[in-house]
Amino acid sequence: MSVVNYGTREITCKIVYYGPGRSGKTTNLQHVYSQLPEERKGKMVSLATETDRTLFFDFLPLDLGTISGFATRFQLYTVPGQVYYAATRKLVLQGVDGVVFVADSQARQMAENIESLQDLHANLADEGLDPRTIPLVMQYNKRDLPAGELSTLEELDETLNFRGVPHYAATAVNGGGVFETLRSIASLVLSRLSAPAARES
Amino acid sequence: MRAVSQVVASLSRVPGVVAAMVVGASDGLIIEASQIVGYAPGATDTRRPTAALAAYLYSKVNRASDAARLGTPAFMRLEAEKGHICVVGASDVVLVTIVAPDANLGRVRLDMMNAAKDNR
Amino acid sequence: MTNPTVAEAWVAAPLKRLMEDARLISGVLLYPSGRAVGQFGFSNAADVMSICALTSAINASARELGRQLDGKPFYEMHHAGAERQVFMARAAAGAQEFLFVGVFDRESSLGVVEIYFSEFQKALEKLLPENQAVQVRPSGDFEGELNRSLDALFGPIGKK
Repeated sequence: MSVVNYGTREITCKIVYYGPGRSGKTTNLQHVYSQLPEERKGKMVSLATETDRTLFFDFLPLDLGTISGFATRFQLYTVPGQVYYAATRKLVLQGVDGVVFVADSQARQMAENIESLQDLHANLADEGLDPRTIPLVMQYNKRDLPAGELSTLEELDETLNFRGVPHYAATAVNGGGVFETLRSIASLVLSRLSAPAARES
Repeated sequence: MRAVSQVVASLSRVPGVVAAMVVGASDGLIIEASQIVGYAPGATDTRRPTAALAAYLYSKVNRASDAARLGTPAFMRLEAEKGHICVVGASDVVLVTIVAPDANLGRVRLDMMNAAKDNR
Repeated sequence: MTNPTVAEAWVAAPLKRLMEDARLISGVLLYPSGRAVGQFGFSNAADVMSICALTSAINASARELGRQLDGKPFYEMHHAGAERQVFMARAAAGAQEFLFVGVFDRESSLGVVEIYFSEFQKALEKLLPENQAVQVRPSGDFEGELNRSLDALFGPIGKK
């Protein structure tokens, strides 16, 4: 849940990158980290196995500067994608303000994408969050792989994006689509904060 | 309550006491321990396992005594080939001594029980 | 007390000894990646899976915390509950690292568990097979490996 401090005029929001194993969640954060200037980012923490599979989470704090008079910070997290780590994945989702679902565009991974999306919805519901309304952006990653191995963007959108949320093609390994995705989810989360219900509270 | 270090120091000075320890009753962890008399560098330090197992044994003895409706055990002594382990409970700690075979056990018992009384 | 079930036969004897001597109610031995190596006290693969995931996450967090505090990684954790206690620690056998998590109650104590865990570590060191490769796997079927170890402990799901 976003933390808004009217005294110090600071906003902190939590974004979680979700998706099946090896879909590119950590790669997204690594690219963001590598491209941002020092004054805009904190240290990136990666709790991973020796073969770089996320074990618990990756964490990257970002400073977005002042927006509408509020110093705005985002905390980006990834989750471990493997089904095996379901218990810890749930923990990372606590307090989430927005989700980036990183789907693996490979056709053979569609079942994993679907399973991961269902898992996301179940965990959001367990947290008392409405999966139909929480800020969500879809990223269809690995578009650089041979076309014959990929689902088309239309197939991915039709299968996964039943909410019709913003979606982006991406090749996170070289940064393609990464910042567009991040900008989109940041905008959705901040818009929600400035919505009338949020203002009243 | 007397400082734990004082309790250990005074018990370790009792003739025949090889080592004295104050140990957590519930966790078996050493709170304070004296040096082992005659300890040779490089030899196995037996204080930690002794403390853990003595506290554990005392907890079982306590339950046995309770089951027999005999109240709280006053003093527990394990006699072995090469010496004794003596244990007295004192609130949430136990006093443990490792004692030489030819020690004055009566004196050890008395001093331990007095030390425990001070700590209750 | 039932015998531990193990995915690697050589850990069975030391794990059983630890279970009996330390009077543990339940326990899991795992690799830092979360892959289960042996367990006792559990009848449900899903429970072991969650415990492995959480234990490996706690270990990863504790090591990072230790690093960030400019100190050495934390290797042991103890939680005392009202009725039961949890002990979690790292065990190194040669270059291979394991994690262990165990549960005990009033029938044991932290001091006793620590003593016998220390012996357990020495037993693992002594018994580690000479050809045991350090568990750093290439990027192959990682999830498959995680699940296969559960199959080895509980039998494949759906097959009787």
